[in-house]
Amino acid sequence: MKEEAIHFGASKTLVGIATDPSAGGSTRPAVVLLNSGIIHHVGPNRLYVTLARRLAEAGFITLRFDLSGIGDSSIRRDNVPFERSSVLETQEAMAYLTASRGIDRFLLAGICTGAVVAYHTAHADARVLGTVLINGQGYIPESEEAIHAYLATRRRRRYYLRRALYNRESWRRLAMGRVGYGEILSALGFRREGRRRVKDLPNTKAGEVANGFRGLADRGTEMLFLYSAGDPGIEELDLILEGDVPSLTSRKGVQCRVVEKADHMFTALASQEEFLRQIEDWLQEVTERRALSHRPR
Amino acid sequence: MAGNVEAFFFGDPSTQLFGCHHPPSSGTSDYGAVLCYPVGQEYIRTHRLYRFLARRLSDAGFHVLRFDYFGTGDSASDFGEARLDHWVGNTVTALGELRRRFGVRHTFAAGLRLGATIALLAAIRRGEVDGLVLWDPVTSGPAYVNDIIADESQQLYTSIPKDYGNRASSWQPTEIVGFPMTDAMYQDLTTLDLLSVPRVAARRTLLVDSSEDAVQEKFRSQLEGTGAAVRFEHIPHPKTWTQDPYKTVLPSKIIDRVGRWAGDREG
Repeated sequence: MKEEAIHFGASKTLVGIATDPSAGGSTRPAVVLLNSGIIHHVGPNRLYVTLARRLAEAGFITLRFDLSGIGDSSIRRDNVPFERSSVLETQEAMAYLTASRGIDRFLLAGICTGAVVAYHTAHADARVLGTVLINGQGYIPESEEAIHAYLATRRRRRYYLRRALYNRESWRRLAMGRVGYGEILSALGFRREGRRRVKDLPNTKAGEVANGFRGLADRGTEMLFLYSAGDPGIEELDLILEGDVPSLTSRKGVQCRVVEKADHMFTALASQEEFLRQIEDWLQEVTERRALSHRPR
Repeated sequence: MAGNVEAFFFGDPSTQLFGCHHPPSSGTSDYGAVLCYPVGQEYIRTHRLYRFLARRLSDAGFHVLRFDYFGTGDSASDFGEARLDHWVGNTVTALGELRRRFGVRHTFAAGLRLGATIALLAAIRRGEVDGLVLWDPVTSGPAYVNDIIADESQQLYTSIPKDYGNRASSWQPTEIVGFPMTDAMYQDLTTLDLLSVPRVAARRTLLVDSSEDAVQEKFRSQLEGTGAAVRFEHIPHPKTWTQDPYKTVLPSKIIDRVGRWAGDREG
């Protein structure tokens, strides 16, 4: 395994680490790992470093880098909004790999907002063969307040169900009057109300995103939706697909997998191992499937 | 362009270290500063703060080298392979790299939390360090371990056993908030005691205390007792290292104070 610090992009101000297999080149698609929120290119709990090194052992070239303004990359000097710049910069990362390694097929992976950037880039660029969308949150723009208020309430309910009600500190806070019964009870009772409200929400970007996912499936772009059990991102996917996630995940090339006993960032070491195994297995499967489908007849 | 960095690997190729160099904002300089990160989850949470601190020091006329220790960040190996002594040695290597690569003659070392502790230990080991910035240094290993165990206990799937807190419990952590805790590292940390530091480590030292109740006063007395020239700054600010990066309010006042102190060549 070899690691190289690189600078790329129009002004060479994007910083990343390319990880190559010991033997040098690779005929496999390259993997690009995308920032999770504003956590820099080592990834949450340094998972991107571990993943890139394991993938190098499996023969993949991986580039993990910082989008402009995050980690070690400089801020942009233009006014291009993040939704566009993140896609443009991911395409610059792919262009770097094409120029330096001769690779023109890519697999993108990202946690949380990294999943959203992976989705948008795949949508914009047919060189992307597949995406690993991990605990994706933010497919629907923040500006759509009604949707986010709705999601926030569902998330709060899930929080109380999964953590607070079983946590001694929460009960202590409750006893001290720092958490309201009303908030807990409304969270607990929200699901029925939430289901009723989905249809009442204003027409939003959710439909566009749903069509975007379907369009990728039509194009043959493979997608792994990977979630920590109970992650709020599942609520968002459920909302986008109007309560019918299987309508997408039953499509050819689309899978949804769940990592048990994992939080949003895979903090527990056991969950990290499962995270790494799931992604490595899926990337191997996709690569082998693609190799077979491209074999001369 | 202001704020650009040069990223590179340095040191022995089999144990290579990742560094980011921020050149001085204007002209050349023979002053350089190595920034020492805290470790584990605190490293992830404070990385952005370090970028801002590096930029402030670069504005104060320093070549700045932020770098990852062995087993952390982008540097070689796994966290579970690292020892505290490696990290002190890595900092000595980084101070040498600063001199070799950028030709600086005056070196500073700065760090937050365990990064401050490592900066101090490296300054003692290397000598020839002109300035030290110790920002909320970890002075007691056992207290630090209690802090990070408390952090672990707040995780959704915590490794803390139910009977922890029972005096009879001999439990020792095997993981802390996303990173392994080996027996060796546990031993390194629980025996750490900066209050027994025997001598002056640098020509001048800035001790920053961001706690509400000035918990570093005892360490300040200890340092002054060794004859060190210590400037003490008590600037309360919420603990950046306990917060998710996107929730963090940068301690701009402290960053600026560090920049002004370091930039004042007379100290």
